[in-house]
Amino acid sequence: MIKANSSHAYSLIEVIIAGAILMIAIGAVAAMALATVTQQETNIRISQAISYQEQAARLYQLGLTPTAIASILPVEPGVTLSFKNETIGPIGTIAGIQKIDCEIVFQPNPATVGWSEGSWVGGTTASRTNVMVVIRPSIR
Amino acid sequence: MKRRTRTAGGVLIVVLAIILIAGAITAGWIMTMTSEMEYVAQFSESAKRRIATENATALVRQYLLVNVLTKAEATGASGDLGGGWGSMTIPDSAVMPLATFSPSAGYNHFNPGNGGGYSQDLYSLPITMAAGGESISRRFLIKSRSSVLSGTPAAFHMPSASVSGSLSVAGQTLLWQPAGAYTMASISYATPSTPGFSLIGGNGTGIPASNFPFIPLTGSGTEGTPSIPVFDGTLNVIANTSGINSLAVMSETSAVNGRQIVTGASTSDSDGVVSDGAGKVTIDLLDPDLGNVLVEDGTDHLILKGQSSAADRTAAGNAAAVLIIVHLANTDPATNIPLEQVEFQNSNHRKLVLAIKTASGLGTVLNFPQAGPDSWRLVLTLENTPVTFQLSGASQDVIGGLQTDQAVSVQNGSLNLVSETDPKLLDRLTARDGWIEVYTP
Repeated sequence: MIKANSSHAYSLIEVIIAGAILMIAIGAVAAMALATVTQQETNIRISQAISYQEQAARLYQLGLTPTAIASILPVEPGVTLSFKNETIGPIGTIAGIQKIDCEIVFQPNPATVGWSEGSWVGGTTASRTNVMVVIRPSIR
Repeated sequence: MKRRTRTAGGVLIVVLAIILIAGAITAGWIMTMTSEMEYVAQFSESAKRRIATENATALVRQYLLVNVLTKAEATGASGDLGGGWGSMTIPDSAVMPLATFSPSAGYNHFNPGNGGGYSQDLYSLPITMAAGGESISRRFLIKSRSSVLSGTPAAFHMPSASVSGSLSVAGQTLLWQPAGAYTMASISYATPSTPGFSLIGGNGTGIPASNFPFIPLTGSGTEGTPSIPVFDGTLNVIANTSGINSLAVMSETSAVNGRQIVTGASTSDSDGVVSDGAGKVTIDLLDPDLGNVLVEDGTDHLILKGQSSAADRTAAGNAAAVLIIVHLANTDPATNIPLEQVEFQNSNHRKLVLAIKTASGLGTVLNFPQAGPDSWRLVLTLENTPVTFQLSGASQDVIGGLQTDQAVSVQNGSLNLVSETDPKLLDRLTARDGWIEVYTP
């Protein structure tokens, strides 16, 4: 009588256990990957939007009008730039300062967003707003 | 009975090893993502710091333009935008930047003074950035120099400068445009931020200032609320009542000799200046005793005697620079005597600034009767005085240049304006443009 080789049974159990562990691990990584990739895209969008806003603010500080800035800067997908509340007046005891709010509105969450005909479509409606307070001398 | 083989459990180990490696990779990935998130958070803060720094600099610029550049003294000021968007505290100032004789610190060929001129080093101020209370310093200087002596032999100011006839300019031309002619404005340019930096041309010398926007410039000072715009190119330097950048004041306080006052209405003869009492004043530019001269009302004919021989021209070239001001303040048509003619005899190598201001705004003929024997060394400042260059039929070189706010006509020849190559002594006698430069100390 030939005795069964128990090492084969061990291998089967091993494979099943290993497969289960592997599946759990893959599942965890897959779940995390979606969140991580989403976060990566969010990071990119935020840094692009802030960079775009900073360029607009610097152009204003250099003396350009909001209209000129809008015509100079290339369109940034997913970012809406606007200048609001422009005033000329004193800041403290320093008179004649031109002040404006440089505002951007952008969608940081890329889920289900697609690119079509020059603009982002789809995605969630959640958006973020960032305001930079910018001034320049009225004599320039 | 068969013994278990040593390979039992091998698959499990391999899987665990794969998971371990994958886990390490995933952990690295997560760390990278965390770093990116941190970078983005810091990027936003650093952008805010940069904007806040420029905001604070803008506060100081505005303060300097209004309170320091065109004034004799100023009380300090402070401003805070709140929210970490920039704040500045500026100390009192008791300097007159347009009257300083301190040479420019460092050569910046990228400015309107072509690297030369004078510099008033005001202060280095700490700028607190938006986050963390960190601060950096900015050094603020007000620089000034005559545009005519800094590579721009022709400067046409507001309100109504124009040219007719043949005018050749060997150098750059400064054209002040009417307000609103520019669709864009710039308060500064990106470089340099380090004192002494300049663009260097292929021959090793600095590249002179070009017609790139570098405003605001001013040539005038004022006290109190400005009644005369001082940053729009208005020329107000001959008898500026504020005394700032005023040639009339400069001729009194200049270290170059004293100043004598002469009028064509009464006879006089002193130090190379002769008046016949009938409206004619003659000034001998070779006279070693000649100092600065103020010619007043009652003069209709001014003769500037140059030099007729090479030896005289050499002697005149070594003499002190002189400033001659013709200021006719009478506006009463019944008694006003216009300056009909300024006659330039022979040629001239003496460094000379001739400034003419007429309250009546009547025109004057600048007569060069000789047939272009040699050049005239001459810096002309013409305020409210249209002029006609009446030449001898040939071309006439003027070494120096002109700045005017009225019409210039050239008749019977061609006028060539050439930059002065040795402006050192003239720098002290000419009206200046002033501007602000900001550096990192």
